[in-house]
Amino acid sequence: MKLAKDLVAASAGPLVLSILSGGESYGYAIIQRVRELSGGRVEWTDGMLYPVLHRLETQGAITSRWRVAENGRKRKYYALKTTGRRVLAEHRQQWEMVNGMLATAWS
Amino acid sequence: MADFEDRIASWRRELSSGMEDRPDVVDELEDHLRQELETLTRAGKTPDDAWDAAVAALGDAKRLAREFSKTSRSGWLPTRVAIMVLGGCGLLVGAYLLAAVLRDRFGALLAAHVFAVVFGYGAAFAFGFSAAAAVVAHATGTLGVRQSQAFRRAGTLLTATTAAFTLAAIVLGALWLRANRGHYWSWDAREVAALCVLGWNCAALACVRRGVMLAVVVGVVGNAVVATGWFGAALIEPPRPQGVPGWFAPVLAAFVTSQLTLAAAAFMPAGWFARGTGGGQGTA
Repeated sequence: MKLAKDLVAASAGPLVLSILSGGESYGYAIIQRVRELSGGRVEWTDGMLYPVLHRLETQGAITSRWRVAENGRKRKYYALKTTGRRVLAEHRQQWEMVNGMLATAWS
Repeated sequence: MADFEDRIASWRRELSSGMEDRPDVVDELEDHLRQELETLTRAGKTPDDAWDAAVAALGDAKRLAREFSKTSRSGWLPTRVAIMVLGGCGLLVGAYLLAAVLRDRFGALLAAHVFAVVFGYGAAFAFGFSAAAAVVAHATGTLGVRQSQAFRRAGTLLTATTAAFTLAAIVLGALWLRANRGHYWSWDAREVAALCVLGWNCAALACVRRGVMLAVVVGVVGNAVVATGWFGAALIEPPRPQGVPGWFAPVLAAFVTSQLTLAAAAFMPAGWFARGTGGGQGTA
């Protein structure tokens, strides 16, 4: 399913923060997790994840560091910061509110 | 993966051309591409199919570069302060000279020359100030990728401004000399100094694009070059009739020494000062 561009843009940040709340991760693994969560039904261009990660880092919600991965290459890992946990909590409240409103409107 | 190395190198070149100041991003995307290629070839895809699928999944290189250009390229406070102060001083000096021209206290050509000198040399000091702040950040291990990128962007702007305005000052000065003294050039201290400042800043512009620590060193040394050229010329040919005050030479010498010391400090390892005082992390 192809989601509306605005919906993808709005949900990308909260989705990434939610995934990182489970522990440190890197871009490719985050994309795989998004595919798992959607059951393969939502199409994300892999490349669109990285501007989202960089924006979240500039905003102070996540931090990054380069580490040597198991294949010997440098890899950038991201982790959620305390600020990011607060931001995620706010996102969650807002999405749950919208979800509740829509569920009521459509019932 | 040997099949893909040439293709990855070519893909990387195309992506890098749109993201010159983000080599870290290109590295990250290359890592993603490699992982996707590994996954697809393990799943049984042919090299050509795996390549097409992996590149399509990542997205077009030009579009990626455009997406990244939209992400907040927030500046770094010292460079923002330097540029704002330069802009403010430029407005004040410009307003003062314009008023002097309108009151017939200055000819327009001389006023334009003076403005070009002040703004051009001021831009060099603005870059030098940012470079000095970068030395301090490097010493405390806080000169990260974002700060380095902001510093290099500001450095490109400021060194180009210095070079352009110094060139304009030289030309305007030559025209003023011709109109008032009958010759374009007299090889006096100020003219030679202006040539040195122009040459230094053209070299600095090339260095800023090559690497952040090289840019830091040329920025700080640039302070010494411009201060010596601008104020040192007054020692060789003191302004008449007031001459130069007695404290001028030692203050100039102290300033030049301090800048050369800062430049030397740039060669120390990242975070050396923080480690020495028991803090610290390396520079990202």
